[in-house]
Amino acid sequence: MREKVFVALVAVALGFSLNRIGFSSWDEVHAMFLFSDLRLFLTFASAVGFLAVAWIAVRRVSRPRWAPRPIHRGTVLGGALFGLGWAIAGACPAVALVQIGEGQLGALFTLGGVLLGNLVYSVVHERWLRWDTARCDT
Amino acid sequence: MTERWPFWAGGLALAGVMLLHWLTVHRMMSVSSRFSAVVDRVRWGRAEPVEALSPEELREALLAATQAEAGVGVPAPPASLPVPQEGIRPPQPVSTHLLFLGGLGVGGLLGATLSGTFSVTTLLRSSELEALAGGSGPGQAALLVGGGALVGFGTRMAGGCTSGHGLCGVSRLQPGSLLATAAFFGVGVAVSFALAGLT
Amino acid sequence: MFEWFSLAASLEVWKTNYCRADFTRCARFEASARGRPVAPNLLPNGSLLRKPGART
Repeated sequence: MREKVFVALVAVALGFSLNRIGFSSWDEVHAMFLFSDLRLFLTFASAVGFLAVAWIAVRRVSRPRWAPRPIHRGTVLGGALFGLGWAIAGACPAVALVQIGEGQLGALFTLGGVLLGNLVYSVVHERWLRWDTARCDT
Repeated sequence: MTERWPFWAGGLALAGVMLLHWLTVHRMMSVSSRFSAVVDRVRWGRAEPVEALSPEELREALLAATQAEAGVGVPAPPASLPVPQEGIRPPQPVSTHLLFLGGLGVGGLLGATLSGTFSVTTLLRSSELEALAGGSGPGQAALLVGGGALVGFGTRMAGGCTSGHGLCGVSRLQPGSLLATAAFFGVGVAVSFALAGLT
Repeated sequence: MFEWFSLAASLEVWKTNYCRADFTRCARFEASARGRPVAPNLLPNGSLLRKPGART
């Protein structure tokens, strides 16, 4: 129960932040990709920087067990297809839900697409690929 | 035009949220894997429940299983086996995943309402997407479904999205995350320039 | 789970039998290849880690 409360709070904070940053705006995401406004890139990069420091601090006080993220056969192609979809739909998975909350109901199409694409990959993986995605390392 | 947070404030907020998720939930943030879990639940039904094990119970169970696997004559692992502190934790139930995904929507609603930008539109509030679809509503919907499907397919194939790979993986310098992030940002830039050329 | 098998020399038997010999026999790989969720208590030989005493 406690975990559910925290999960909900974190999700609301993430949705709020993505809205205030502008990551949920198709036009602003494209201004980032076209380098006409670097603010979102800088936001992302500074988040990575702050997080790197945060993880160092976390490691100082505890011994966290974090799953390694090795390169596997789906890394590049999967990342590339995600990039293609992100540029077209203007949303990463979290952002589709934020957009719906903002009243941009067209993101319901995006959400449906994300769920469909996820399902289709799970079938393609099972039927044809069966790639070793290094899950057994985790 | 609404006031946006300066980049450092946005970066601090995103980093803070990821850190808060780790500190309170003791799992790395990963939005796409929550989508995968929801899809798996629909496709395969309820998974067999996993029993939580304390580190001591895990140590004992692991020793027994290893002895059974190895047969006789193999030295037993030391009693001081340094098993992970959290032992074995059952995966989060699908209700928690749905709560998280719903929470994102509530966060978006809150942000839009507090900044006075909330309004309901049947598509996206984007003049550029509209231009890309030639002003057609069904065209925009098709682009969103198709783009969304690529996002779902690609993130499951790569094993992460902007949160799990992009933020939490890159900040830990994980090779798979660095490569996946380079791929999705690289292709995003290339495709956006191509789309901008079309309109 | 793989990293646990590096914790002690005697746990190497898992790595020898599954990770190195034929990882397609590993129940964890098998589940992941079939697109199924991989249970955190699933061992490479297909048995599950359970509370000591509660045998199935």
